[in-house]
Amino acid sequence: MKGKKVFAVSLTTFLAATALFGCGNSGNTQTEQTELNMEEVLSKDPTGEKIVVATNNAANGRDVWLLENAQAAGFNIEIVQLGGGDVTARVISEVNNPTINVVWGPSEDQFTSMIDAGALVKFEPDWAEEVAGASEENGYSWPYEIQPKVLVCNPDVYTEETAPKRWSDLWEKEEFHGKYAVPTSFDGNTNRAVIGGILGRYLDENGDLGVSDEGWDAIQQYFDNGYKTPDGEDDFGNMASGKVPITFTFASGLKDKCESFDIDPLIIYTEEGEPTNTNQIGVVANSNQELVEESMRFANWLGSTDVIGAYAQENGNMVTNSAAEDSMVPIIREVKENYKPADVDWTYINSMMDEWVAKIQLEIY
Amino acid sequence: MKNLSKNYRLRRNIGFVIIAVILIWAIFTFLVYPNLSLLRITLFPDGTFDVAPVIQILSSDRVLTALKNSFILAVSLTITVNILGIFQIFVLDYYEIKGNKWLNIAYHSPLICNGMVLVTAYNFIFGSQGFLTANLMELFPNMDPYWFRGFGAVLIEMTFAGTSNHIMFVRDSLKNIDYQTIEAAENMGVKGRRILTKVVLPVLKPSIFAASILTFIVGVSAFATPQVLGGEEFETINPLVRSFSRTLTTRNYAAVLALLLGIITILVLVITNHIEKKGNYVSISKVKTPLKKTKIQNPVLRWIVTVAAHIIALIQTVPLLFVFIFSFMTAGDLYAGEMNIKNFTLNNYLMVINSTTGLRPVLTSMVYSGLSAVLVVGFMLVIARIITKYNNKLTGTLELFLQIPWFLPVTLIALGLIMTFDRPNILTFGLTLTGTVYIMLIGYIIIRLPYTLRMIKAAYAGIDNSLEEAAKNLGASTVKTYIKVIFPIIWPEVLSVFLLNFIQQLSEYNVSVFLFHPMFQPLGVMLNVATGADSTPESQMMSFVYSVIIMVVSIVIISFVYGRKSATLKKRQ
Repeated sequence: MKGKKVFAVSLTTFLAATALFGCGNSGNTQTEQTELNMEEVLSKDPTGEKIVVATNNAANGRDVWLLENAQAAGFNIEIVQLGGGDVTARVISEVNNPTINVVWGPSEDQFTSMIDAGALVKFEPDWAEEVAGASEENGYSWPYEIQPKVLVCNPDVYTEETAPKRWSDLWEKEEFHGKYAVPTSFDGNTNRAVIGGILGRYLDENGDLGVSDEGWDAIQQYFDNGYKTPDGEDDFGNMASGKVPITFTFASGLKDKCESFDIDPLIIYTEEGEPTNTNQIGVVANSNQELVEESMRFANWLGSTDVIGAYAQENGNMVTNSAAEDSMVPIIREVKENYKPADVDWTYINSMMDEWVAKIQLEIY
Repeated sequence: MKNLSKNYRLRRNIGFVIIAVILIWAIFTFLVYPNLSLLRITLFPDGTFDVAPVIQILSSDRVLTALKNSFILAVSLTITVNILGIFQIFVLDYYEIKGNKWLNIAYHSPLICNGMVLVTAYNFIFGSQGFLTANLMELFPNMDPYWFRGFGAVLIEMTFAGTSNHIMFVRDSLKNIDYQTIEAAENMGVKGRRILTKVVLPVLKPSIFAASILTFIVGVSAFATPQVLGGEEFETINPLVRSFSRTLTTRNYAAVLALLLGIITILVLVITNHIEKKGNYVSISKVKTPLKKTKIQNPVLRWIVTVAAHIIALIQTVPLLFVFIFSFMTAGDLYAGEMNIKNFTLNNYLMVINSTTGLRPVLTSMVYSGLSAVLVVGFMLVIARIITKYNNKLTGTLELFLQIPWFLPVTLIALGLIMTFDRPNILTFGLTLTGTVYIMLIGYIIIRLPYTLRMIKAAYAGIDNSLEEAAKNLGASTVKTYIKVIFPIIWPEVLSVFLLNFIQQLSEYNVSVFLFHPMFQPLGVMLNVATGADSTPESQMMSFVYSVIIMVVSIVIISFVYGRKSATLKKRQ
C-alpha cells in the first residue's frame, strides 16, 4: 500500500534527522558569566526593564504590596505566584530558556537544586553582611527570612508543664497519642523540615538511606500515633478548637493563622530545638545581561533593611536582616528570642529528603 | 475491486500524502519524541535501567493496595455512571417527567465546576466538620463524624459528578433515534420494555461504549476525589504518582508506576477496541421522525421515577450552590462549619479583583481553552476520519500513539515538552518553544487528544455509509461530500466535544504550571496556588471565588453553544 510507504519513508527521514541534529545540540545557551562589578551594578538606578518575579510570598494581597512598592522604587515587575516546589522545578527545567528572572521565597535546599542545575547567577547584595550567618553562604542565593517550625498547643488544654517538652514526647508518651497533627503531604517545606528534624537525629552511615533502624522506627511511631488531618479540616483550626490540640506551623504563618482562628496558642520551644530553614532570594541566569543586572538591583532592593522590614511588619516574618529586626511583629519577636535551631546536619538531610519522603510514602505513611 | 479503487484514490490524492506527512511529523515531534526522551532520562539515568524503584514499588503494600483500589474504583464507576447516566437521559428525553427544564439544567451542572473544588465542596458539606454532618450530629450525637469517607463516598461523588459524557453524547444518539423504528416495533406488538432493550439500547451502544471507556479512564486516574474523600481507608494510585512526579529524585518512581498503570490501561483499551470493531452499528436515519416522549403508564412507577429524578438533580446542584455561598464566607466560619449570614463578606472577591493579576487569568484561560479546543477538535476530525475509513495496522498504531497522554502522568508530559523544546530543534524548524506563549497551547492540545479522538470517532461511527455513497453517486467530490453531508450530521457532537474540552481546560493545572507564560497566568494555576501546601486558610477562600468565576464563564459558553446546537438540530428537523 502506498500509504504505508509514505509512512515508512517519512518516519525514517524524521528519525534520521533527529539522530543527526536533534541530539547533538545539547550545549547550554548561557554564556559563562563574566565577573560583574557588584557595586557598579547595584548603584545604578532601575532601568524599568520588565522583570518576572516568581514567588510563594504573594498570597493574601501581598502581591499588591510588592507591586506598589516596587513600582514606587522604579521597577517594572510581573509577579508570578507559584508554590516553592513548583518554582524550583520550573526554573530548573527552563534552564536553557528561562522565563523567570528573580526567585523569591523558596528554601535554601530548593535554591541548592537550582544552583546545582546551573540556573542561577552569582550576585552579592548590599545587605550581605546584615544577613551573615543565617545560612551557609553559596554566593548565589541570599536568606531574607528565618523559618523555624514551631509546635503550638491549645492553651486551654495544656499548660507549659503538661505540654510536650520534646518532639519525641509526642510519640513516646501515650498521653499525646492522637493529640497531635502530622504532615499529610510531602511537598511543602514545613512538612519536609519536620521530617528532617526527626530523622536527622538518627543519622547512621550503615542504616537504610543513612538513617538507623531506630530512626525509621521513630518516624513510624510519629505517624502511627499522630492525627492525619483530612482535607476539609485545618490543623490549626483543630488546635484552636481543641479537637486535636497540638500542631506545628512555620513561623511566618503564625500571625495570619492566629488571626483566622482567633487564638493565642501556647508556643513550645522544644529541648532539641526547632527544625529551621531560611527562605531566600536569587537571580536566574539569562543571556540578556541587562535583564540580569536589573534583576540583581531588584533583589537587592527587596532584601534591603527598609523594604524587608516593612514587609515583615505587615506579614509577620522573622527577618534575617539584623538591621530590620525592630520591624518584626511582637509574636515573631517572642519566637525569635526563645527558639533555638535544631542542631542537625541540614545539608545532608536536604540531600536525602526526596528519598526519605519516597520511603515514607511507600512504606511508612 | 474495493482495494483497487482505494489504491487509485491514494495515488491521485496528493492531499492525503501531505496530511500523512504533517501528521507523522506532529505526532513524532510533540507526542513521541518528548515523552521518550523524558522516560529515557528518568528510567535510564546512567544509560542502564535502574531496577531498584521497581522492586521498591512492588514490595510496597501501600502501592499494591492503591493499585487494586484504582481498578476497583474504575470498574465500579463504569457501572454506576452508566446506570445513573442512562437513567438521566431517559428522564430527560424518553419519558415524560414533570420539571423537565429544571432537570435538564441540573443534570448539566456538574460540567461547570472544577473537580477539585467540587469535591472540596462535598467535603465542607458531608465531611467531618461539614455543615450537614454538624447538623446531623446535633440530632444523633453518637454518629461517626467520618461517615462520608472511604470507597463509598468516593464512588458516590464521582458517580454524580461523572455523567457529563452521557448527558452530552449518549443523549445525542438517543435523540437521533428515528421514532418510526419505535412505532414500527409497537405496531408489531412489541411492548415498552422490549422496545427499550431491543430497539433503543442497541442504537445507543457505540456512544455508551465510548462513555464507558472514558469513565473507566477517569476512575483509574482519579486524583482529587480519593485524595479528599478516600481517607486512609481508600487510597488510589494517582495521588502517589503525582506526588512522586513532582520531585526530581523520585520522578523514576512516578514513571514506573505510570507505566505499570499504562500497561493495564492499554490492555483494557485493546480489548475494548476489539469488541468495538466487532460491534454492528445501527445508523441514524436519513429522514427521521423526532423522538416522541413516552408516558410511564404505571402511576406508582411514574411517581418513583419522578422523585428519584428530582433527588438526583438536587444532589448535583446543591454542592455548586454551596461553592457559591462559601465564596462569601470567612475562613474561620467555614472551618468551624458555621454559616453566619451576618458575617458574609465580599472580601474574597475584592482580594481576587485587587490582586496584581486581577481578572486577567480569566481572559488567559478562556483564550487558551478556546483555541486549544478548536484546534484539537479540528485535528481529530481529520484523524478520526482517516482512522474510521482506513481500518488497518497503520491507523491502529496511529490511534495508539494518540492515546499516549492517557498512559503518562501529565506532569511528565509537560516536563518532556519543556525540556525538549528549550533549544532550537530541527523538529520545530529551529524554533525554541519553551518560554513562548505557544508551548502551553501545545500542551493543552496534547492532553485532550485521546478524549477528543474517542468522541469524534464515536460520532463518525454513527454515520450511514450509504449517505456518503449516495452523494458520491450524485457526483460530489470527497471534500464536498464531507462538508455537505458528513460534517452536518456530526456537528452537534463536535460542538459537545468542543464544549467539554473548553470547560475542562478552563481550570487546568498540571500542564499549565510548567508551561504558562509569565505574562499570562491561567486560572488553574491561580486556583491551585490559593489551595497549595504553604497557603493560609484566608487565601484558600480565594479558590471558591475563582471557581465561581469559572462557573459563570462556563455557563455563558454553554448557553451560547447550546443555542447554536439546538438551532442546528431544529433546522435539520
